[in-house]
Amino acid sequence: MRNRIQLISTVVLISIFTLLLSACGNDKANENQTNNTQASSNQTAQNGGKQSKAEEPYELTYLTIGDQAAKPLQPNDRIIAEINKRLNIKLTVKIVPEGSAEKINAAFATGDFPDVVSTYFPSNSVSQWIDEGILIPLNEYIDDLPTFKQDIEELNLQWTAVDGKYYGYPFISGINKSNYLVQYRGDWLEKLGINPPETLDDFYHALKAVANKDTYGFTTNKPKAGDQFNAFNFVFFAYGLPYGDYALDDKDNVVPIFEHPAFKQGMEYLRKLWDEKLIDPEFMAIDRPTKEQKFFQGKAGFTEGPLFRHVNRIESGVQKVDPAAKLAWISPPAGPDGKRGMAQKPKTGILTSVTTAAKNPQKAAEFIEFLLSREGKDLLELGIEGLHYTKDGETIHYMEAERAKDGFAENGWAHPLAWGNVTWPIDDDYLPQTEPARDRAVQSVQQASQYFVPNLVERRTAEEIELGSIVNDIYNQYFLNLVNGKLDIDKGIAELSKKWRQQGGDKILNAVNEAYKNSKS
Amino acid sequence: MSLINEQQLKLSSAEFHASTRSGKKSAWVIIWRQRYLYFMLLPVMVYYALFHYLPLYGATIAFKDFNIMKGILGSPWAGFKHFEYLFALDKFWEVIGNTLIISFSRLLVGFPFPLIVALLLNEVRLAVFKKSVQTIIYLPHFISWVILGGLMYNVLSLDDGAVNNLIQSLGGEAIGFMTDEKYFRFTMVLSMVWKEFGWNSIIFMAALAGVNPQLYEAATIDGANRWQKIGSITLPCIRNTIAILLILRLGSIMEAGFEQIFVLYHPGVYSVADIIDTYVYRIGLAEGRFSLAAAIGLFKSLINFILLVIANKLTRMMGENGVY
Repeated sequence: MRNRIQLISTVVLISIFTLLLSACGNDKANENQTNNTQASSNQTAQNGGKQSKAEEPYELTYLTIGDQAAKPLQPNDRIIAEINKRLNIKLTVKIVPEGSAEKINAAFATGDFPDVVSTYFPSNSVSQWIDEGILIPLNEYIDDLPTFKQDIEELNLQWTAVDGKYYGYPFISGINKSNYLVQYRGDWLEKLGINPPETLDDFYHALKAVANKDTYGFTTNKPKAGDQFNAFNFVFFAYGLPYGDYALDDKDNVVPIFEHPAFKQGMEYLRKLWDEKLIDPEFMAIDRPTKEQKFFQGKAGFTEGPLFRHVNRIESGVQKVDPAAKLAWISPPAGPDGKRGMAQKPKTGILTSVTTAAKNPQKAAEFIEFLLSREGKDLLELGIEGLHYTKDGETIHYMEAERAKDGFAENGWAHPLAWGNVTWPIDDDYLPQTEPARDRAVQSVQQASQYFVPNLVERRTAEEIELGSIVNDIYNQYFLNLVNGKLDIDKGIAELSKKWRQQGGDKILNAVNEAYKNSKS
Repeated sequence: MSLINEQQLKLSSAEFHASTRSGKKSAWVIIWRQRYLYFMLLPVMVYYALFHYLPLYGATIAFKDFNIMKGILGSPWAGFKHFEYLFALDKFWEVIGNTLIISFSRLLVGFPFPLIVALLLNEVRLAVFKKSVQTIIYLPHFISWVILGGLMYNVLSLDDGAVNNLIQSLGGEAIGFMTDEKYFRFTMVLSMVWKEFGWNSIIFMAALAGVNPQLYEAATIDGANRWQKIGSITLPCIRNTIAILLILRLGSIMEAGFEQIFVLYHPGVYSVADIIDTYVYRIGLAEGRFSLAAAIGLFKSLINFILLVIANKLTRMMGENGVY
């Protein structure tokens, strides 16, 4: 009996300890296993025979942000195998979902650095990684990175350097091109015999004409956490707000946009739309997919958002509900003085950097260069010739079945590695040849790009990075209450101004004023 | 326990009385005698040490300027810098206020409701009906907030939401349950109570099952009606369970339901819905300000701890057992 108890106790104890210790252990084995399913380490084995034994492939881990439009990475991905072969590396790719930079932050906080990382910037995290020496300046490798160097010069991205050092490739989407416009149900306006709105007055009348008890005139969506809500900024631009980021007072000092007279005028206009139930009252509660669903289902006649590669997707969406539906778009409506604007010059993007974990930073930098290069982009957009596509003169035939095996998105769209890290289709002028409505997609960019609104200051200051989310939350809350009438416009703006300044705004303004004065001198 | 010989236990007990005379040495003898029981306890102790006590040193980053390269121990001390920064922020007091309001509302509505349901179910004599009701009310507990959030949006939405359609068909104005600051907390509290009341009634049901049926029989003979039996027998018998559950709930009063609020809130209702946990998530993980997030978390734990001690003290003063 005594032996039985001893035996049982020992077995139970060993089992429990094993469980506990396995939970505590460094998860190298699991990590490798996961990576194998995410990317593929087998590809190297397939191709490794071609490499000389003297030059062992460099093991490179790449952690990046994905994109909703991309398909997941497939096991035994032949594109990654091709990259391995061309660069003599053994690539492991980890992709976090779009907008989930917190997963990258958590990995870094635990000391789990990849060789190369792509994440949103500027941000508190990236500033911290730079300060602590986690990210390596790439200046000494830049001569070996021709596309990197060329992009910096051609796109005037020198402002992204920190004290003259480039801590990664700064991918700022939409610097010179925009695809943001006001979209609407063309078929509805045609039926009503209304011309596409040109001015804010026309816009109001068009909203009024399409709205009824089941349909709002206009819908939009909430901002990303920590960002300032700007979907209605085209109204303020129409009333004469001259810059996208800040305004100037009579003494040439930088002030927040809500202290410019155009904000009050725009807010009065928006209040009128709200009071007449022309604006979707849930706009601050819904995300972009929900907004699109509302538009598809005919719950709103107008919306705003990106076009270009989305033209066919949005039009197909509305036509699923109503086959006779037509997607149309207009330039931002003009204000009383004929002013108009829509897209704001971006100050944020995605930084692709090499970390101190890279044993061979040169190789890691070359990997970034490959992603940027025409060779790399062709591989990630089209695939391997003969396997994923064939060429007949200038015409490309996409082999969808083979492309699907390697995670390419349907209908000629790119591999998961080409989304949301160093390029987006609009920045690369990439549209599959088979894309329906190609001409309209291209036209939407030409039209939208005419309505860029400049920024007063080119880059975000350290204070904006640190305190931005706090003051933006205040702005968003007041914005909603000003639109929906919970606050009197004059009193509300004064209150917003006081609170915004008190909770970090003054600090931000001091820094931005200094940057503005420096940029003028 | 069945493996332990009854005689062995008696022996151990006798040894214990003997050992009180011979001091510490004999305490080790007792431990040695009952070593298998202590061995069985060891994994639990190791679990708590590894996963609950050891990570506590991480809380020190609230007093440090956390540097990833230097690690938690190597990061330089920053004193109360992060706390001072937090206390100067309106936002901090706003999230503390929201957490307390939402949590106390949940306690006020959510604590007695499962008890009432358990008492009602206890009175049901038709077993099939009782079991059916129990199964139905337990179900929402097993649905994640991510799914429920989508369902709630469809049911409570301003356009085509079933509830607002009903209100409008009766001639009323649509209500922004999820979008209006006035109604958002109400929606949160009610949906949380709806989701969990069935599950929370289980412990009360178990306590009710332990009430001696002879007491009811005696009361019946004495002519007591159902209300009198509930008031004089049922509630006093489960009073200790109610007290312990209340203490535990008070001890976690700063947990206002991260998952639910994270799924349902949006910038338009931050002023009434942003709680400590959602704020910590945003500034800690999303913005990577770990020291600041740790400071808020520590503050929250401190309040929880104080509330737990007060609640336990009050319970003991009222003549109940308490949790320690």
